[in-house]
Formats: sequence, structure tokens, C-alpha cells
Amino acid sequence: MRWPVNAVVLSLVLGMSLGLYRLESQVQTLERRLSVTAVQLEGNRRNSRVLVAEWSFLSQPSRVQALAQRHLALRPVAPAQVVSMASLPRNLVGLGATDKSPNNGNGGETVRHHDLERPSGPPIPRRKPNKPRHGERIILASRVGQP
Amino acid sequence: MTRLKLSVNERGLEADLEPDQDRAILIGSKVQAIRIGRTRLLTVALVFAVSFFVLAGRLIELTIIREPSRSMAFTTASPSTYTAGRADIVDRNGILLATNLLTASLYANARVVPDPARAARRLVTVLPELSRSAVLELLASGRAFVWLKRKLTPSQQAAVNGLGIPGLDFRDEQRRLYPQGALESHVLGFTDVDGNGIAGIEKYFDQEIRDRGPLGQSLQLALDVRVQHALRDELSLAMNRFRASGAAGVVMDANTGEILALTSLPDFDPHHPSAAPDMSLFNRATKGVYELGSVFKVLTVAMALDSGATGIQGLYDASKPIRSARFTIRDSHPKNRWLSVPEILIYSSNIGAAKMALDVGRDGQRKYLDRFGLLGRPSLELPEVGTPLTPSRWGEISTMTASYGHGVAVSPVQFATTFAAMVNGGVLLPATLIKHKTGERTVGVQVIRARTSRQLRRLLRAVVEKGTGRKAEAAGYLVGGKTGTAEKAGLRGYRRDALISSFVAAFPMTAPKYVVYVLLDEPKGDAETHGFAGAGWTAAPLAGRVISRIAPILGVQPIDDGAEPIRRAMALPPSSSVHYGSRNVAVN
Repeated sequence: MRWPVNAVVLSLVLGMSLGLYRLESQVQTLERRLSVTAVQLEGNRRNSRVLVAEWSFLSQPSRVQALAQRHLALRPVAPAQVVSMASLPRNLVGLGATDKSPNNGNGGETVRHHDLERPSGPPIPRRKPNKPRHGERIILASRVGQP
Repeated sequence: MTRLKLSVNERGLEADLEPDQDRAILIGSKVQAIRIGRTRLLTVALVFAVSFFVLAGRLIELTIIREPSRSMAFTTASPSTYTAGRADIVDRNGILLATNLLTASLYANARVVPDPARAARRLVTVLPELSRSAVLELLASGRAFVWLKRKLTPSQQAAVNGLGIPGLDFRDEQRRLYPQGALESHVLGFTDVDGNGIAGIEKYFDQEIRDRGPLGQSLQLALDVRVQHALRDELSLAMNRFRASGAAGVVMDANTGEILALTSLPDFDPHHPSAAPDMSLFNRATKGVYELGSVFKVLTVAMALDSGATGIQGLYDASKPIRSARFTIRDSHPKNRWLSVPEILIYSSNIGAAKMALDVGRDGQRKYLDRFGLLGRPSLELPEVGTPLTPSRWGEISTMTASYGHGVAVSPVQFATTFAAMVNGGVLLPATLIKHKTGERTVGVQVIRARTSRQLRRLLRAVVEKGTGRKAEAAGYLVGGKTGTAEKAGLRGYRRDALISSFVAAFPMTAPKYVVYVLLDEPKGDAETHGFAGAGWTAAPLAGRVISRIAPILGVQPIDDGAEPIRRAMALPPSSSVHYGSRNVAVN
């Protein structure tokens, strides 16, 4: 009578101890992982802050302007280059690739996207891109490190 | 059975008893002992039970009730180094303007440094900006903590580490960084080495920026870096070309009061404000108050039309200068004839404006200027805000000079705020550097009637189309505005060689969206301007260039200004010879 009860209690105690031990070790593992992750998180947070600051620094309008003037033929937008969708001629419908989605900004009407003729207006001045000066190389970010 | 239990439970007690004592006494004392024992046992059991219940309850709360997202373990385990500090500042599009970054600062435990002389000698080889004697003094001081250099660059840190001097160590400190450099220096201000806001937004919102902290929500300004750059770029080009001593500019949303760009030149590097010359730290756009000259005529015409003192077809005699006790008021572009109200603005006639102001009257003029917010300190989220200067005795002469912008000195940003009300339908909105939340309605005060504002739009367009502001034209954006050339006050009256040339503009004039105000301090004419330094030659073309640069950025739809509907909308009423509201002025 007494022995089975004791045996059950003993096995319960043993089982629970084992369970508890496993749980404890699991918790310890998780805690280690948590602290490692937290350290990584902090590192990433630091890095991302530095990168955001660097992005803002590198995209300074004055810097972009200087680079654009040196390497691109872009100029400020002339008023004649900006037209509204509504002012485009309607007979472009149905030619070539068309956009029939209702969200194309024109109330679902079909508008051809490519090869639009420029509406009449003063000619847009063209300019050749400046050639890189002697000894100057333009290095693309994706090619850095390659010969 | 009971005895057996007793003997087991109370063995110690039994042993103490004398063997020859009476059995009854023995039983009696045993019963008593059992009672005491039971009570104690019960008490202890109760205490344990309560404790276990508390523990169980806490366990249930921690594991089941509490949400996993608010896990305690996470918050305590993440060793954030950004616990305190300043929040980021961003522009209206989220471009970073100011942030806190961690940088290493070098300190020494002077008690541990083995050979201070040698350590100092080696340290100055990698940090040449430190003085060797000063470092030696610090290292030999015997103190446990001395700062050697705050906020090192990563390469400096690596170099100091490479020396391997014992007793030297680094501590992470937050450093305020302004990635856009000097671009918004006058708006943002700067902080000291300990992260206290000293000037600008950093000072005005010091507490709030601290409360939010480096990981908190960033402070979003109304500024747009692209517009700010365009304004600053054009201002500095004009400033160099006309050898001006300074320049200021404001771009404002005419319908919300948001300031999209605010520049004062010369400006400074916010990382090293102490290295900048004194005048660079002075914000001409908000702190500086100037007699702005003829741009005030817009206000004079506004109050004259709004109060009914004259109509748009009113005529004034500008055939000869007004002479008063000490003053002679003359025109800089004299027509020597009667001028209509539009002509007074188009040719910028001082005589006409002065007579118009007299029609409004001294009290009327003061009432209107007060209503326009030009007689009190304006509200703006900066500590550097100038209070207007007004005549101490406001007599008839003050009324006349104020009509063309002399005798009343206000800051450029304050004038731009008022000008926005003149063209936006007559609603004065407080200028703000903080971006409005989407859907936020701005509450303004109706200071002139909407009809007067519509009349002013046509008049201002005419100034650019055929008046003194012709060089401010930016094709496609229907610019309207007014020139202002004021002589600076010197020790002996006004100096003819020192001018404040400014131009106030709004576009597109059919329904103005943006106000641009640019000001050049003491510009000098060059060959191309035939030596003239007045606003029509210097500030007006500057404003035109600023507008043609920022309009595409701001998404303003260009319109054909020659198209018939536009011409009709901007047409002035045909001039008539009706003498309307004018009166004979005798000032002598």
C-alpha cells in the first residue's frame, strides 16, 4: 500500500526534476542567445545609424549638384518639359503597349507610355556630358575592387 | 498509537523528563507540548502555503497573463548604449538633418600609467593637436579619471589603441552630427560638447529633443533640404557676385505658414560654431530687423484698398516731391505726373505711397500694421527672433516714411509671413518651422478681405510684368512681387552707398502657393547692372532664379502665362481719370 505510493511520488519527483533541469538548461541557452542577439542588435543599430547619417551626408544636394554638373548632361527642368496627362492628345490611344489598368492616373483611359511625342514648345537645349578630366576615373560602387 | 506518535514527535521533551515523575503529569505536559507543537506547525505551514500561493500567482502572471511582446527579459537584456541623448531631426521628407552617433572619448587613469613622460611623448605623436606638456600634467596628476581627448575619430582611436599604453581607455560618448553641414545651420543651431542645445531648434526644443531620446521619434521640420539648397546656392552666388556683406532668404508655404527654406548668409559649420566669425552666427532672416523699403508699399496699398481709403482706380499727384520740415520725399523712378494706384506700385512711387498712407491715416496705418503682425514680436520656433523697431513718436512723417518701408524695421521672416497673408486670400498664418501633420488645419486670422487680396495679386503680377520687378520673371510660374531698396541708417542719416535690396514674390499668382523673400545686405553693382545695386537689378533676378529652381521641386504645374484665360485673370482694370479718394497734401 505504502510502497506504490512512495514509488509514484519518487518517480514524479525524479521526472519533475529532470524536466525542470532540462527547462533550466534550455532557458540558459536561450538567455545566451538572447544576449548575443541583443549585442548584435545594438551593433546593427549603431551601424544603421551611421549608415543613415552617411547616406544623408553623401546625398547632400550641393554634392549631388556638383557631381551632376561634372558627369551628367542634366539641367534644371524647363517649364515646357512638364505637361499634365489631361493636356496629352487623345489619339495616342490603342497604339503599341497600353496601360488599361484603372489606376493609371487617367481615370482608366488607355494611355500609351512609350514613344510619346514631345508636345510643342520651345526646344529643349541639349548638352553633351562633360568628359572626365585626364586621370579621373569614374568607379561604380558595384565594381569597386575589380581591376 | 497515540503514545507511539508522541514519543516519536516529542522525543527531546521526553528525554528531559525525570523517570520517577508521575505518569499523569507526564501525560498532561505531553498533551500541552503537542498542542504547542501543532500550533507552531500550523503557523509554519500557513506561512509556507501563502508563500507558495504568491509564487504560483506570480508565475502565472509572468507566463500566462503577461504579453510576450512586453517581455521583461528582453528589455533588461538589451544593453542599449543609446539610453539617453538627443532625438534625430529630419526634414519634411525624412532626410536626416541632425543625429547622435557614438564616438570614443579617451581618458586615463593616471594612477596606472607607468611612465607619464614617455606616455605623453608617444600620445602626441598620434594626436598632434594635444599639447605635450598639458598631457604630461594630466598623466602625472595621480587622479583616477582624467579626460585626454573627447570624441575621437575611428582612425584616431585605432592609433591610440596601437600605442598600447596601460591606463588609457575609451568611453563611448554621443556626438551630435549634422550630415548636411552648414546647409541649415541657422535653423538647427548647435549643441555644446555635453549635448545641451545652445542655439536654433536645438535650443528651442532642447527639452523635447532630450525627452524623445536618440531612439525615440525624430523631430520633423517643415524644411525641405532641396529647396533649402536651391535658395542657399542662389543666395551665395548673388552674394559673391554683388559683393554683399550678407544675404537672407525665406521660402514659405503661403497657405499653411510652413517655412520650407530659411537661410542667412554667411552661415557656419554647426560642428565647430566657435570657429566661425561672430557675424556668421547672426541669423539675418529671423533675428536681424531691417527697414525693408518699398516692399512695404504692398502693405500700404493693401490697407488703402481694404479700408476703402482709395480704390484700384484712385489717382495720386506724384508730379513733385513732398517737402516737410527736414525731409524731402522723392521718387527714385520719377514720372512727374499723376499716378494711379497700380502705377504707384509698378513704378514704386514713394510720393504716391506716402499720400496713400495719409489717406489711411496714422491710426489706420498703425491698426493695420498691428493686425498684420508687424508691430509685435513674431512667433517662431527659434530663440533668435528679432523684435520690430517702430517710431517712438508716430506722427505724420512717420506715417509717410512707413508707407514705403522706412522707420519701421522688421525681420525678413516676419515680413514674408505678412506678405503671405496679402496674397493667400487675406489670412495671416503664424510662420512655423515644424511640419504640419497631414490633415491638420491651420487657423489663421483674416486681416484683409479676400477681395483686396485678389486685387493685390493682379497688382503684384503687373509689377513683375511691366514694373520694377521685371527681372524676377520665371517663365511658366506666373511670378508676382515687389522690389524693395532701402538705404541703411548710418550715424548721420541714411547712407546712399549702403543698401538693403530685397524682393518679395509669390507664385503662381492665380492662386499663390509659395512665398519667396530674398534680401541682400549692402550689394554693390557691377558692369552688368550698370553699377546699380537696387533691388530691381540685384534681388529681383535672384528671386526669379530661385523660383525657377524650386518650382519644379515643389511640383508646381507650369502654365502658359501668355494664354488668354491667364491674361484675363491677371488683367488690371482700365485706368480712368476719376480722382478717387486722393486728397491734397500740405505737409509744410
